[in-house]
Amino acid sequence: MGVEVAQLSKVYDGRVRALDTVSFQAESGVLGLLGPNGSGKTTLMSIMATLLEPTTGTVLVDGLDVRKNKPEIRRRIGYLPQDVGLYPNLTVLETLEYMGLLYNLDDPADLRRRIDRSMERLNLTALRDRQVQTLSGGMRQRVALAQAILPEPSVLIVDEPTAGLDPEERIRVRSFFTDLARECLIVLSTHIVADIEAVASSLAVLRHGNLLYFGSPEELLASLGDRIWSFAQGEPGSKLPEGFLETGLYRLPGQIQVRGVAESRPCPGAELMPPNLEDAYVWLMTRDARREVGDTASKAPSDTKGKRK
Amino acid sequence: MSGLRRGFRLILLAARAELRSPGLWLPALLAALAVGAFTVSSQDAGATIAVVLATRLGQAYGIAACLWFGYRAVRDQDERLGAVLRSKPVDGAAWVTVSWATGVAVWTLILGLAFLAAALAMAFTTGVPASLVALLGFGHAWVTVVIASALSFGLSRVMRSPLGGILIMLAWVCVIAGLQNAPPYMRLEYAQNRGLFLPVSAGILAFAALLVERLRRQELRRPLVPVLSALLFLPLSWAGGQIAARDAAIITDPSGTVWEAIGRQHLEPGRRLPGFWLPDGHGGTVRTADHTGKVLLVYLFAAGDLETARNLKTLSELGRELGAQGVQPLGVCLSPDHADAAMLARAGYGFPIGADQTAAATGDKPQSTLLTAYNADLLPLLVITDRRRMVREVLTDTIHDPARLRELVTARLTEEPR
Repeated sequence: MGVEVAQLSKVYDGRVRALDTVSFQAESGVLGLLGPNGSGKTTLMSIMATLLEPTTGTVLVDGLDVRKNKPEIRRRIGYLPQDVGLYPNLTVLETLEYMGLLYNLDDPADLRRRIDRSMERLNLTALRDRQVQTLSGGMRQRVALAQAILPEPSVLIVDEPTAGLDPEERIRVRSFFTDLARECLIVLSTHIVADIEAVASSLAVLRHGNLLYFGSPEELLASLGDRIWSFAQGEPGSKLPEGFLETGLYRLPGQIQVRGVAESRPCPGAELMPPNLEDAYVWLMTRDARREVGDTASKAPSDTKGKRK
Repeated sequence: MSGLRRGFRLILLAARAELRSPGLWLPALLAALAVGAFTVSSQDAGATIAVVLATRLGQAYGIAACLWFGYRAVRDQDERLGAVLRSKPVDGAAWVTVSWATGVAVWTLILGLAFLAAALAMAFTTGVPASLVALLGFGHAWVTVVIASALSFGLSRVMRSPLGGILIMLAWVCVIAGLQNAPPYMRLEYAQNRGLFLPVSAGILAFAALLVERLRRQELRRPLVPVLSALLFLPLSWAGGQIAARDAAIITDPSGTVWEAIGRQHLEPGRRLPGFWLPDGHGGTVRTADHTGKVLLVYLFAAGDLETARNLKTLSELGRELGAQGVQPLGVCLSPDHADAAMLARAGYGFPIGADQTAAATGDKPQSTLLTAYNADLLPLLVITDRRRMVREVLTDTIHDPARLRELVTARLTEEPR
């Protein structure tokens, strides 16, 4: 079980480097992939799902090389791309049967059992006879997830599963991942840091195809130490103290509270706060951007290659 | 076996989903109703209606299928649905085949609905034998649609664009519209061209499935096997092309020995009727020589002309009524499509119908070697001979008058009783 990525690079058309010597290993739980648009998350997931070939390096999914064992890997993974499409005129039940047949699940009784279980886990049983085109976005996303878990995968790869969902559906999907993570490795890519915070047991942060961080969310938070401060801002848009990196802005009754990273107390009245993943993410991204323009003052986090269990 | 069962189940599920779309079933239903109404209104055309439907529906549904299959070939290749499908362990070649076969199943139902409407209308208006010809017509049109679908689907899949289907449709429409100038072996709806188009369309489909799709899904391990499989269709296509070119309707100059002989004896009252040996479309031969000593009613007509085809019924009735007295109708069907005569020969008219397979056009200026040899350029044409096969009447405008026809034939019998 798990994925092992070693020195992975992907170059499109000989020019665009989408991934640059990325290495990490994850075996169970939820691996969160974080990064801005164009950071290489979708490319990495597509390679794991055998939809793209690596340019260099190796990727093992469940111990199998993605270059040499595509059919076998496809049998063992569940994949849910970003903005998933399903046949609109099929019912939920028919969709799952159709996808089950594409997974070569031949035995009708076994297929039926898997479908029933998937529907039950994703709360779809009552919707079984509804056509996909009549479902809300959240319901469709649950159908898409249900089809991805039909083969009872050892690795489930999901790209932006909660994008566009209402808060209730997002919570439902997160609970599902937490529950499923006991059975398989879930590789979860998202922009939404709160999703990762809620479910991820390990984290890979990508930027411009480079792995900025790999490790547990707790380790990343610990690396921030006592650097998170919060203080009331006088006027909206007023100048922030020198050396202060803003990570959040909160409106409280009668005032605006600014939150961010600073090596020492940025201004009188600033309070030390426990770090959260959003602070860490912004800090990582900004630190890396500074590095690119030659500012190496910040301290690098320890892991850029790693292994998580 | 389980693979077959799985494929069948996939086709069934997808076809059911397709048919739920009102954009598909509503036009199909309306078209079927129109076909039924047309058949009822043309009831006295008898089984010929099935021949006309086979050609026209084969063309109309085939052209629509070109567009539909072109679109369908790429619908599941986008990133939204395509990525989900490509991540599944189904073999790429099997997937393309199942996807195409789903479309064929859908169009079989749509086309079948139209012919069912025609068959029911014919059963009530013309009789069951005529409605059985609708079955033959369905078979003929179905093969046309299958060929068009495989060409469009395969090409669109290879090009990864619905343009493949559009190109096939445009080429076909151009060939139909430019009938006089385009080579007849380019017509993919003609029965005699199937030897060419079936292997070509199967080859394109095999190329798309075995090579292109597997390459796209990165499943191609030994490319030589699929390449050789696809290449296998080349000699088959070449052989089919040879047959199609051989059978192509080419108007020959009647200066060769046989046609020269016929050409010397134009259709003129008082001269002997030029004899002929014509295939009857299902392996037999229609010969004037087999009917020595009879009053012959030789009827040359265009298969696609419902007005002229109505006379087949009149001739059939005359043949049944006066056959014992030595009256023998003989039909000569002029159609560029060899399937037309084959269907008519099975239509239960009760007299031989031969096919002039050299017919290249049956419109305003009909063209065929027999017509050229007979020095005739108008259809339909009815020739009445006496018992010595001498031409007595050459009719072009009074054929639609059954009473007048009966009068002429009765006069001949009175003059030459048995």
